[in-house]
Parts: sequence; C-alpha cells; structure tokens
Amino acid sequence: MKKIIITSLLFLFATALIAQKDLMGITWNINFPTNNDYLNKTSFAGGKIEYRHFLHEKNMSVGLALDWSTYEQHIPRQTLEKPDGNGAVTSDFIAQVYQVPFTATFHYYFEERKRFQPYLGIALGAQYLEQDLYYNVYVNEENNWGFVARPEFGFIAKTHSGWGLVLGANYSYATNKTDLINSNSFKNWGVNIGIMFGQ
Amino acid sequence: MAFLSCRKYPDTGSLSNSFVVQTSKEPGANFGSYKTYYISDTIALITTNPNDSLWTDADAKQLVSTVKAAMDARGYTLVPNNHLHPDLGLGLTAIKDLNIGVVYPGYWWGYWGGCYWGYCGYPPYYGYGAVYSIPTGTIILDMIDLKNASANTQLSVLWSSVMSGGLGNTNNDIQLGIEAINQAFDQSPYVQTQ
Repeated sequence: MKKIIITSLLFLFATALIAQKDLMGITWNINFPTNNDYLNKTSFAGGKIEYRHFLHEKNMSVGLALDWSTYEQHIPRQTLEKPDGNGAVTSDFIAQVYQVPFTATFHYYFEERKRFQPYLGIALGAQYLEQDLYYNVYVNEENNWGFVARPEFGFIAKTHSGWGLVLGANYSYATNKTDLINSNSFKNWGVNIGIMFGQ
Repeated sequence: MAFLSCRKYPDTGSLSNSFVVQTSKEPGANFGSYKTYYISDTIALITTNPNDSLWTDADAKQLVSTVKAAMDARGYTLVPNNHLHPDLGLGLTAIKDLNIGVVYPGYWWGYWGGCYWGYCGYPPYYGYGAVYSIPTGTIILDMIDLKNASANTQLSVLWSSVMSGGLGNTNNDIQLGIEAINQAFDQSPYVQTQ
C-alpha cells in the first residue's frame, strides 16, 4: 500500500512541472454501506479533503484524497457465536465502523458547458478500517488495512471568482478483512458535496 | 497517524439493561458423560464489604432454582448434597457494588472457601483462555468436573457463563438475572445428557 501512495506522490510531483492548474476540495460525505445484514445505516459523519493537479491537456487531473467516515448502528439483542464454536455472547450491541481511505486519484473532465464541468474518475489506495462492537461495559475492537478502489463521477459548478461547488457520487470497494464479523470486504456507495477552489 | 485517533465514540446509553450473557466451554468436553450434579442453595457473594460472603435470601434461591430447572431439563439429576459424589459441581457467584478489572476466570474461586466440593487443594482449571472484565452486578456460573477431579488432580471447569448486568440496581434485576441464566443455557445446547 505504501508503494502505491509513494508512487502516486512522485507521479504527482513530476506532473507538477507541466501542470497549469491546481484544485483543492473539501466535501461532506454521506455513505451508504452495502455490507449485508451487519451494517445498513447511512453515515452522515464523513468528509473528504482532496487535491487535484491538472495535466497540460487540461481535461485530466491526478491527485490525492483523504476521506473519513463513521458508521454507527444499534443492533438488537442477539447471540453471536465465537468462530471456534466454544463460546457465545448474547447482548444488544452498538456497531461502529471508522473508515479512512487514503487514495491517489485520476479524473477525466468532459467539455465545460455553462460553467458545469462533469467528470469521471477513479481513486485507488489503502483503506484503514476500524470495526468496534460495544456491549454493556465491553468493547471488541478490530482494525486493519485493505486495498480500496473507488470509481466516481460528478461535476464542478464553477463561479467567476475561482471557486466552485462540487457534487459527486462513488462506489467504494475495499478488501479489509474483519474476523470479528467474518467479513472479507467493506463496500459502500457514497455521495459528497462541497467546494473546490484553486486556479 | 494521529488522524486515525481523531474519531467519535458512540453514545452507549442506547444499550439495553438486559444482561450480557457470555458462555465458554472446554473444547473437548463430553457433556453426555456426566449424569448427576450438585448446586448449593446459597450464592457466593463478592462485594466491597468483606463480611458479605454468602447471598442466602429468596432472590438468591430464585437464581439457584433457575439453574436447577435448566439442568433438570437437560437430563441431569440433582443429588441432595455434595458428599454423594455428583459428577458435576455447579457454583454461582454474584458480584455487587464492585467493578473488577481484567481477570482470568477462576479469580472468584477464592470466595468459595478453601475446599471446593470436598476436593481440597485442587486448583481450578479452565481449558480456555478467557479473560474477563467484570462490572458490578455480574453473575457467574461455573460447571466443574467432579467425576474426574481425582484422576485429573484439578477441578476442570467444563462450562461457565459470565452474565453482566444491573444486579442490585433495579427492582426487576432478579427477573433479568433469571432470564440471563436461561439464556446461558439456551445458547449452549451442547450442555445435555441422556
């Protein structure tokens, strides 16, 4: 994972020499987990900081993005078996997932019309995931890293003064493996809305 | 990496006041090879008061009766006292007004006195590596192998349940305790004999 990030950074610095435009973005992220019956409650506690560096063709950018989201859900009283079959616990639970993907991004921009510029992109990188189960005074914690791939699309609505509104949607697939809930991946849909500014 | 610790923690106030029922069993235990059991009508009590060591009132008897009913339903036969060589010894411990940090199972055995079911000097043995943090209001049920105690020279705990809740906090906590004991058996269908 580190190699991907370092390679992306080097690529970014190299392209800075021929670049003509930079954008910084801050957005509010809303995510919809699609991981089965364990977690299905929408997360409104998320955000993104990103940096896009335009290539000299001007309709493509490379960049870096840091996202974070907290999912939280009350799970009604139920019995969870330990994987070895020699134990069980019955309780209601609060499941919490903290998701932090670090990604390198590539975006392609369609022709700008009436200050609207649609784009398509892909974000690739590493995702930190923490899955916690709270019950009574106890907490079971597990955290891990995985590879994340996130296709995304959206548009930037530009103003005359160098900043714009951004609205995007994405699907995120990550390979985080969590034994606690016997899961091999973490998947979610997401939308993000915010501002982009730059020159 | 500091960013990774910058996260919100949940409000656990929405969690119910029902007991958390944890059960563990000795991985190789054959519960069908035991037929009889004994359980005292009193409950070992651990509190901040060193003079509190036994819980003997009607509430305690209700909890013991719940264990007896569950054991009978699973095909085991109660013997009237522990001198009649029961195959299994069951022990109930209650912890009130006291939070106990991280402990290994068996910590509470000291409160049962020196000789457990007449087997003086045999140490408790749990075949599973459970570690517990025990909040106040916890009931612990241990099932001990007396049948093979002499051969093993230890008191192997075949099955145990740590039930954590609000014992001593509310009026209906005895009912919650009874439900917790029944839940411990429900989630352990392997505890049965012919």
